[in-house]
Amino acid sequence: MSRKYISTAIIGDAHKSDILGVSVTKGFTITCSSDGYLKFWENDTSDKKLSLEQFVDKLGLHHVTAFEDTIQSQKVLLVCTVSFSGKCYLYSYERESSQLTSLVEALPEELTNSKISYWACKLTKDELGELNILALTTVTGHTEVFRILFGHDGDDNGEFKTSEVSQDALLPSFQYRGTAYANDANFATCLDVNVGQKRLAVGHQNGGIYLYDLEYLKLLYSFESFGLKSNLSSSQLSTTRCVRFSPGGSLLAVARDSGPYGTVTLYDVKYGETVGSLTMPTHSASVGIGSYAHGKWCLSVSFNDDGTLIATGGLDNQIRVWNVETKESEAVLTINRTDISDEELKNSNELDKATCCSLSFIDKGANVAEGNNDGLVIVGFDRAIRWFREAGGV
Amino acid sequence: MSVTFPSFDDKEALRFARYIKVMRILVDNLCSKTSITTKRQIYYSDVALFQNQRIVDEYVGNIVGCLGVNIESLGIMASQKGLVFGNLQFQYQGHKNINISEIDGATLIPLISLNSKSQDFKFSQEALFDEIIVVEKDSIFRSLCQALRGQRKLIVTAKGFPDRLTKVFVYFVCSHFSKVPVSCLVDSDVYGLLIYYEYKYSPAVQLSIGTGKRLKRETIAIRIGEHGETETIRYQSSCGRLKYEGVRLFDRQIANLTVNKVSVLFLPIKLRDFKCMIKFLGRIQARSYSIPGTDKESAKLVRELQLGMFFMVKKEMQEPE
Repeated sequence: MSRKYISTAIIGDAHKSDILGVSVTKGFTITCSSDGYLKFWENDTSDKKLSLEQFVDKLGLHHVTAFEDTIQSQKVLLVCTVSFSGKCYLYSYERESSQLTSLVEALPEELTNSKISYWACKLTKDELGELNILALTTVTGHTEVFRILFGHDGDDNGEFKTSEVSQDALLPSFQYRGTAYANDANFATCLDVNVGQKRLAVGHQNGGIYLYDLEYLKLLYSFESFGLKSNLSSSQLSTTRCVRFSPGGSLLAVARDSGPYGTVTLYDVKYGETVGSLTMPTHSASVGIGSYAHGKWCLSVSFNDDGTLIATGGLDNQIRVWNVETKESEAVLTINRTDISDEELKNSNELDKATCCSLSFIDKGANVAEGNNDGLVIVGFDRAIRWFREAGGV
Repeated sequence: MSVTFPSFDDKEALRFARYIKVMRILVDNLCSKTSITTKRQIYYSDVALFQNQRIVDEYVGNIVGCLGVNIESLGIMASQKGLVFGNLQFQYQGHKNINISEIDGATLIPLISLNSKSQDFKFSQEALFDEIIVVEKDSIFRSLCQALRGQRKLIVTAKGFPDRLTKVFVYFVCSHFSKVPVSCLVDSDVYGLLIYYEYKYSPAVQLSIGTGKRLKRETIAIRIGEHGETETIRYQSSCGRLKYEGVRLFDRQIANLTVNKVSVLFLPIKLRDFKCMIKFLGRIQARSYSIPGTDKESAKLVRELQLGMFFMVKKEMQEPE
């Protein structure tokens, strides 16, 4: 079965430099860029209005993650971003004033330690509301895990005093739970958390992936890379670029470099076995036997909300949507820079043409006018944000 | 500086011995025929005594300060680390003829005073080269020398991080031949970018002391003078117009590299690289925020660093086999 995706909105020159991260909440598409800004774009308007911009760090931002929940009948939106300086920034979104409040005072000592350089970050919501998690990887291969507590959550009696609900009561605090470390000091490049299955997955620069138990932070499985290895040095080029759990937490999708190509492998979380790879058919003479998902590095993967589809995006400017069951490619979106009329981009760098750095599925119904279909958002080094949705059924 | 002799204190005695040794080497050297030495040579003449190069530097500085003379008049010259290849002739300080020619192959950068003034140089007629290329690595320098022989290029390398002599030499050559383009061939890793930054932005030559308007691309330092007055020291970098022609992480490599079959390789970065990159990025951004106006070259540098960190790779030039 093949699917069709149509472009719904494009914003060119959305940031002044490379857009390296995107996170989607119900209301906003949040982007972060190496120009040091966080920007919030409204999902439910067709022109994707810029709702908020926040200058964070002049060294630039590379990862962003968001947490959205309703606590004591109040909506809470937390955003975490990490800068090239290795610092992590946490903000809470104030709905009334449409502004971000820095949570620097709520951070525990562990998070403000200037000696630690953070890299990837992930905020995860527990459907049961019990174990909301903030996890951050460091450049030394550690992963620090924090529990997010709201208001009276942290009290000894553990009961909500509903009569005292005020804005202050919803200020989150972060409780250090522990550090996951698999004795591998290689850069921890990416991570994902699944609270339902109590799993934490961390990808490393050397291609290794470690799967931990989220509760006890004990190592359960490690997955090695079988990618191409450079014969010129002992170090291999099989950097893990992205790890993502499927919504139910039964599968783990891993995007890894394999020499110049990008591979995507699926692993079974429960038994720690390889389920298969996403591969594109090739007739190229230059590629012998290989199982590549992308002609160049694949930087980002995302599951849709029911876990039936997985989208992958790479430096080859292609977004592929795969059926998780059959592992077959159901749609290929080739993204050209010609779709934006932007005269600002005169920089000579080849990478400026790379349109996909990070992507995310948008849950069905985020924009009522666009019907009950999956949406996709893609950001890249050409400083544009592109929104798509599946065609039909409006 | 004060040294007591005789003393029962071990450290004091050691200090005394070191000063005497340095002065003795200097006197011997001034009486000898060549009468030129370097701080490095002084250090190596008695490693056990000096223990550390920095101690020699400090003591020589103190002696020079006490005597109130120029460091060169004691016969101490900067050691010649850098290499130059091409055709260049000039007269230095009215009596020394310096003749650099391609026929001689790569030669050491000529000995000039680190406090030279532009009137010390009398360059012969017009430029004998159309481009100045500053190279990071010795090996790439040598392969470029072979490949670009006879093509009117002046190639300079400091074999890594530039020393002061190379920076001063590059400054005077570039400022005299102000129409000749200057390009810099470095790796796309933190060290290569640091080397580029050093030539382009770091102070190399002291221009003047006093008050005055600050010019574009000029570094100033402020110090308190002997009578408590503030003095502004104006510096200029080796080459403000230096163009980045080095390796780019995600770009077609430039002609100078591909022509000579110099291959470029992606390599993973290490923790040390990463830490240096964070510091360096902070340094560039602090500088660009303090100086108004956009500098395209420094924006390129920032992006190259950010991408290197984001993809966790570096790209290095490799010699043709």
